[in-house]
Amino acid sequence: MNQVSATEELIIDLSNTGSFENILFELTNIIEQSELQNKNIKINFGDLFLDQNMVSDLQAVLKGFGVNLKMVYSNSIQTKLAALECGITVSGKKGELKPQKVSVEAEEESKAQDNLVDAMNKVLAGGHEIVKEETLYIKQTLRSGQRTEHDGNVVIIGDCKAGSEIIATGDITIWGILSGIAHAGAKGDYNATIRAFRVNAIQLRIADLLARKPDTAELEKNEKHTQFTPEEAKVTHGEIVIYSLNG
Amino acid sequence: MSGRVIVVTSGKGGVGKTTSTANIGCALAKNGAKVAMIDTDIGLRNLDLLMGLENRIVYTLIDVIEEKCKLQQALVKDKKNPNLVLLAAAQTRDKSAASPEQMLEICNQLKEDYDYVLVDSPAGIEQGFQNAIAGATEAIIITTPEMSAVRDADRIIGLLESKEEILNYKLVLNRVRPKMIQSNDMLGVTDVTDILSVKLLGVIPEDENIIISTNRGEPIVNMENAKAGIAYMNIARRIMGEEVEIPDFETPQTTFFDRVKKFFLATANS
Repeated sequence: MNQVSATEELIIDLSNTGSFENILFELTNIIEQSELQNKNIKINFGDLFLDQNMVSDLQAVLKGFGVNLKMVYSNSIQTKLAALECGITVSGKKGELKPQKVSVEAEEESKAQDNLVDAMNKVLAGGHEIVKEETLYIKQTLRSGQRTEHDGNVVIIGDCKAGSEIIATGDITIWGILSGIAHAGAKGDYNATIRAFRVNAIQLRIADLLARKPDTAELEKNEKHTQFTPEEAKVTHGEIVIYSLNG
Repeated sequence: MSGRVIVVTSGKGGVGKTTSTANIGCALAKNGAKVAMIDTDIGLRNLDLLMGLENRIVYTLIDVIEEKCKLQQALVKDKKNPNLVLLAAAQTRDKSAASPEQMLEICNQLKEDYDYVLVDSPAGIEQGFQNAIAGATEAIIITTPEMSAVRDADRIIGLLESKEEILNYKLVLNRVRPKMIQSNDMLGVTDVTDILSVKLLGVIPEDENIIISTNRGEPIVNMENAKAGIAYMNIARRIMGEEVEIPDFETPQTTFFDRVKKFFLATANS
């Protein structure tokens, strides 16, 4: 039940709260005490189990206070999937909770990292990008009806089945077959790319451009390949084009 | 040792959940197991029709939940096999009449007295489905080889995966037409299992006798030599732990006549 501002966004640790009623109670207290109206928060549920109804109730309560639940940390698969179903970004990593007194050290640490990155930038120089955004890393197959939205890049280890949706402001990289809908550069970045072992998407979207799978008269067989030629979708001359990454 | 609670679900309607529940239940009972079947499709009940028990229903699932009768009183014995009982749904109510907690309670009670509790789920992913999976620890997903059914099955599997109480789930591919698969007009068995990434429990061929058996209120496993009936009996054996090979529906079968033709053509050409 501690709360610490690790960054501008608040991470609230509810992993010790026993029941759903306690969660709502704690949250309401924290919100009233800290004047969190119109802010984004992230919640760490630890091992707690929440189903989809609980998560959407929670979202509704928070909306009533003008608070936006941006992200959920959880160790439970059920809770993570429930949050995904409600359109919330999830992570398995517990939010880092450093007590207030060592926040100065934390700041110095992050300054040191910035210096390191700048140094790396200088060494590599010219055309190399080092991105400090948060990347969502999902290690499972997305099935039909499952939707992930993230501000940053997304990496999925697994397939994205037809009927699933991935929306990212950055790049989307799928270590598997993309059969669903992928929307990269969702806030207008035309340089965003979508990569997969095979891009078999129903629709590809980059920024505000849209490309659809061509109509086929033949029955589509989902042949299992033992050898994949990875593919990448990029915007070229105002259109989304899929390239084969064949070296 | 308590029984196994298995939910039979699909997402898509009309793919054969109720038919499969009735026949798998019958087949398990024929093999000596004590089986209870629950119809959770409140308001659109069909399991009692398929079993031919419609006119023997006095109390329903909702009567048990509302404590108008004891669970025992609502269990209707099968006409032929006393090891098989049915807990019918109410036709005059709807799915809001039951809750997942109440369903869990009933499944827990039934599994103390029965080896298998088969829960027939309604189509969809809403309250009816949530009620049906509440007490289950295993699932059988029914699908036909059509893109719409397969897509819905994928959705359902996603929902089942997120319920930690369901420890295993397997697929039954229903209404398969081998000739259409061979001529590449229908999705094959491997196509479907590849798309869904799920283990196969059995394959049921398209069989006109199903229509006859439904209208008669007599499960097809009781019909001699019906193709679908044999497939359902095999599924029951697999559920009970036996290893029964799934026949290959995809390569063209050479009949004796084909081989004779081949022989004559070969000798004619030599």
